[in-house]
Amino acid sequence: MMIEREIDDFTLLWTEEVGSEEEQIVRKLAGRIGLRAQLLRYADYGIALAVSGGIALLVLTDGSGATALSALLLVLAMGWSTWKRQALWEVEMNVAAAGGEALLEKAEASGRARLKRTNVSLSALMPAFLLSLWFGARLYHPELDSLAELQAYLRGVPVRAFAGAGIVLIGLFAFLLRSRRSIAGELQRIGELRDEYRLESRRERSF
Amino acid sequence: MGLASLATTASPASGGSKEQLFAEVTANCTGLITRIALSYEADAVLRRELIQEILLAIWVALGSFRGEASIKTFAASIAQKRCISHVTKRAREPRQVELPPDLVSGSPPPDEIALRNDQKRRLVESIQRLPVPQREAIVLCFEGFSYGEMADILGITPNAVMLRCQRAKSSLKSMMERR
Repeated sequence: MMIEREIDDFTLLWTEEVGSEEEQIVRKLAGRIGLRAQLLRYADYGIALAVSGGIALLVLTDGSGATALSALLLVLAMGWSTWKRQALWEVEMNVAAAGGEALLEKAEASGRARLKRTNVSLSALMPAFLLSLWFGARLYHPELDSLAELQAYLRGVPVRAFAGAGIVLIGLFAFLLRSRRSIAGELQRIGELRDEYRLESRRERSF
Repeated sequence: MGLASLATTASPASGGSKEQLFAEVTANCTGLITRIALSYEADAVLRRELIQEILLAIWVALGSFRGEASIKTFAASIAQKRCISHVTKRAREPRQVELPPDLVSGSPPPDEIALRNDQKRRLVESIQRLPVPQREAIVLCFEGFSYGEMADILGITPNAVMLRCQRAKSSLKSMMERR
């Protein structure tokens, strides 16, 4: 039988004052939150500025290294913006959810959508790479009309360029595979938590 | 019922600007937030990150705080959800929790302090091992929320809250006795 005094003792133990050291740390963290929130709020302006700068750079320069650098900057800015948006969206999802179970339901739907996107990206990566080779070569050499001509042209491209492209491709593959494993793990944990909630609901209904 | 009932549109009824409300959270809810995070994350470094995420979520949500519930209920609601979100991503398995050395005041004799610290450690570990639905209920119960407030925070009926708390208390007691 439950002894209420013991439970009261647990409550007392639990609510005992948090150590002053720990409290100071939390207060410091709280002090930095305002700044971090402002940064997140201005993330959109940041990406707009980066994209505009990238376009201006592309217009002002022509070809070669500067164009590649500009493209890289744009890709980085887009990636950063997407990451920040995802973080904010997650916070908003937490705030809007009506409870743990509803939150998990949304998180599961979101996880499944991300898994689908990652799978599509994985399967589209190689075809996209080959297509970009084809269109890239045609952009600079419109006279290339057949695959045989493209092959002959590519044979003349320095090995270094292929090695660079190969490293980027392998990096992208590794990143996408890692994402897929991480999302699958997340979905598994969500499933386990949802089972815990279902079990509790069943117990409550049967009471 | 959920946070929608606790926060909708900004209004003077909320009793101050976002900065003032956040200062109120910092002044009054630090312990609450730290303990809720402790019930979900055993690793001190990850717990600090989690607390930061909770504070950020509170800051974001304060813009829509209407003041229908207390700021403590509002903060607890966001903290619980943020913690569940954290569990799905990277919470580690519960393990030995290192407590800060200044957790207990120096007035009782050293053996009593050691005993109290050991009890606290065992309690924290037991709470971390409870199923999440029971854990969120018992933590709010220990924090002194009423069944009605807990029902608002957890999005279930007060009756369901009561049943969860009873089951959690019973599991906690048997876990504490076994250890």
